[in-house]
Amino acid sequence: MSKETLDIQTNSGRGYWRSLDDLAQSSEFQARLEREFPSEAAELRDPVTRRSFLKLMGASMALSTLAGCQFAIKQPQEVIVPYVRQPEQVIPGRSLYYATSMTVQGFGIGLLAESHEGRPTKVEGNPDHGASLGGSDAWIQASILTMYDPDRSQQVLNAGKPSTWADAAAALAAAAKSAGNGIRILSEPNASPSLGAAIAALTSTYAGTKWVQYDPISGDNAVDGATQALGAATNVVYAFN
Amino acid sequence: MAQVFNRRTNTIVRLGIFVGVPVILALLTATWWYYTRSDWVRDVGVAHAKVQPAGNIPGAGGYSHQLHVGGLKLDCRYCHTGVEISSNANIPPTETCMGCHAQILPKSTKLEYIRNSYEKDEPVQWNKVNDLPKFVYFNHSIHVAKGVGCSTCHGNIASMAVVYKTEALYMSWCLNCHRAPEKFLRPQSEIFNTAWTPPADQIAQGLKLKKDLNIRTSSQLTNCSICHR
Amino acid sequence: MQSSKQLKPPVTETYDSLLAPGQSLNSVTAKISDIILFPVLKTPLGWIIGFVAAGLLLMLYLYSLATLFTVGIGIWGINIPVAWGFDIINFVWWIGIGHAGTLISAILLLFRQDWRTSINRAAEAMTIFAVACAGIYPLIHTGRPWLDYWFLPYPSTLGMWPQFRSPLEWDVFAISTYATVSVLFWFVGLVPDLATLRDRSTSPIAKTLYGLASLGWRGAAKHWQRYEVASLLLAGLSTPLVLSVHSIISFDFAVAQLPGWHVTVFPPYFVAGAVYCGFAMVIVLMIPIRRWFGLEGLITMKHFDVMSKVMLASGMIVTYGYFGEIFYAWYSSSIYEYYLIVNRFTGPYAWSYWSLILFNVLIPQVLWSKKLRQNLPVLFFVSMAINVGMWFERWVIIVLSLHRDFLPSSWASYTPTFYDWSTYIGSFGLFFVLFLLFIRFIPMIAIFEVRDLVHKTTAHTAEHEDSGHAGA
Repeated sequence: MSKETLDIQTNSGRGYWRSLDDLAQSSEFQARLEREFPSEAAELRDPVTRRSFLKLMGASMALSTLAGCQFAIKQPQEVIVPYVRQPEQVIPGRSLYYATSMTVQGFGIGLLAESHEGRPTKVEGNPDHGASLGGSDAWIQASILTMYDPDRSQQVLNAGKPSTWADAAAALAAAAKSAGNGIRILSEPNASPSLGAAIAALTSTYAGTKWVQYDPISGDNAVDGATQALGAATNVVYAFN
Repeated sequence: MAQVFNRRTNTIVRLGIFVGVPVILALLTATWWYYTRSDWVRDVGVAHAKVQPAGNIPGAGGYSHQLHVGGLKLDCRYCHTGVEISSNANIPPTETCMGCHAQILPKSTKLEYIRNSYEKDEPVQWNKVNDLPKFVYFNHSIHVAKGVGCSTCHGNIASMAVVYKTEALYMSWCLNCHRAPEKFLRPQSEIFNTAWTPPADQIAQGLKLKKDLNIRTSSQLTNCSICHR
Repeated sequence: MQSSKQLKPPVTETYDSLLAPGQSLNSVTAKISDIILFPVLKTPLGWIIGFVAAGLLLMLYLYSLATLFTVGIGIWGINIPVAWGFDIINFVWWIGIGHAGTLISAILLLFRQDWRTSINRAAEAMTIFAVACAGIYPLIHTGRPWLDYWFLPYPSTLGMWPQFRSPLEWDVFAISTYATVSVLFWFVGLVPDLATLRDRSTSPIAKTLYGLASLGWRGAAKHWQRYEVASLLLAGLSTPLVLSVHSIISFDFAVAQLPGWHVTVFPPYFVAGAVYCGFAMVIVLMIPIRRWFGLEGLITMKHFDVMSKVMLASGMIVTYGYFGEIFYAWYSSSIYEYYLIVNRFTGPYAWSYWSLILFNVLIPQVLWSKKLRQNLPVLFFVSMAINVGMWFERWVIIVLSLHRDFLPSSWASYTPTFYDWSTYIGSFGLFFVLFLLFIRFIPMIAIFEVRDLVHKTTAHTAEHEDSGHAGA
């Protein structure tokens, strides 16, 4: 703390601060201010233990109290950070809409994503998409949150440890050559032709590779029922007319 | 038994009541006024309070509106491109600066930070001068389209070497205009005139503009959700 | 009180007079001021125990408030549609209690009722402390009490004024006026007695403090003349307040269009209820105090008899109000009003309505009997019942009207939480801490007024020669 103490003593003039850490401008405080999520957020992994939950809640509460302390007499100085090269379509303050899609139970759903200066803020159905005509459901509405989910996988992991694509490819090759049953790929159901082609290429390179698709909330039973009733794996579409 | 109070007590108590109490009340009122509603506490008219760009870049020449707008007669919209179409007036990207300064003063050390920004793809940061609270929705485009000129809120930018606040941006100030827009409206041709002054028959002209521009009634304009959405 | 450890002599009760026989100017002054003027270290144990108990409750109160401020009003049981709960119930209840003090001090002064003299000081103190307890509730129920100054019409930078058409805004003025006038009236009435205490006390600290508080009172004829004018003026100011404060509080409800609230009988019915409950509280406080401090000679059974009669009369007005509500429901031919009464009689909170009828209408009927009126345990019990009953009245008005919205889909129920209770029970801590400080340091009976009464009621004898005139 000695450096910080020195900083406090050598600072002069009018200044406003919200905590001792802020006053001392300690590096931890700066790091905490600049991070979008409290560092403890990463602790919220399954299984959520009572301890980690309480720790996380405590940290969030402490941070929100910090942010809630707006008893400073003057507004804090803010800076405006413009683009260096402003993308052609972007007008700060106006939203841009992108047509996109999202895989739900294996099928792509046509969507429109609203974006502010590059940050998606809202997902709605695409009115021009024949399957939805602009409709959406709870999963689609909530999907915007996964975008900002701190638990979202952001890199290659090997047994929970960060890894690289090169290491992954090497590990795959090693696994294919070993005496086992080859490679198994586990994914959610996906009807993407590109992904299908990539996996087909992998399968042809490494014989014995199998692609397993699993959805915890799946329509498999409905498809099985349709198979029994109709003799083929079919998606039933009701015609109420 | 001796007297508890001596003769001077009466004088002291009277002084306290007739001088002390009013003085304390006046001090309290003044403190309250200063911290809650003075222009002072919001740095109105304080030039050099917010030097541009932010961050004390060594050797950087501050951006001067006096030079660019007052001297070179640049139109506001050359840089603030969003002002007619967006809620934000938009602070220009470095690219806009380089559009001229690639040719003009290309070697100036004062513009080093602009070239650095452009080469390293790191934005220049600018101090925010007029900072509305986040719970206030403000849209530049509607104001510009409905006859509110830049200088009504921002003052005579063309005369400012360093831009400073000319208004404290209290809600009562917003309501001044939302309650009686005719006092401030100007013809569309004068919107970007930084030195515009109201004519003698401002109210009459303002009322005409209010009608021509289909400006809503003051009771609609002072609806909470106009600004607090 | 000094002799609390000694056995008390058996009490002889006086039934037909406002003063026990044998009271003299000297004995009155001595009796009342001796309760106060003794060294701090010799404070009786009973007072200390009471003060500690009240202090603990006050701590509970402060704890509840601190939790409220840090967590928010989510700690209470209120929600939509029952958005008012214990906060407003207790607010109305406490402010109602205050009304007896104002009625006794103002209206009875103007009517020259002698029986007010022995009880007015304590009743006025009760008023002020009850208003303090009451005033806190509307301040804290806003959820963001640090912004409560928004209630006040001051030139804000928002360019806006409070909503003057709202009865909630009228409350701000009604309560603050009431508190100010009550404090002024109480203090003006205290000045001659504080001078008596200044003159009788021997400790220099007490002498200085009472001296400062008595504002240089010397008992000169000019002083007395000004005192009379001031108290008459304040009585004139207070008199409309007795009626206006609770009328305005009733507007909080009556101006709304909710079944059970939108009733024209509310203002008089609220005022009568306030007087009812206030006198009950005076009796609840006076019965033990009079016994502990041996004040039977000054507060006689006649006082209790008269107060019981006031209570009975105001209770009958309140009862009329209850029947009025039932009549209006029928007469309105509004299904919502009609349903409200059915719901009160048979709904999920019917127990509270019937408790209200039991405590406020049935039990107080015993006061018709003179014998029971003058039986202190019975009177104490009846007064407690009235306090509880009046609390239930506010519960019935607020919760029962709110929990059944116009649309059945919006129906809900209300259950007070721990913090609802702790904020209520804790407010007694605030009340009793203040009240105990009052009876310890301030004459709880107006010395000079009782001396005046002694003067009026006794023959002009050698009493005139007593030397205790400095203070009175």
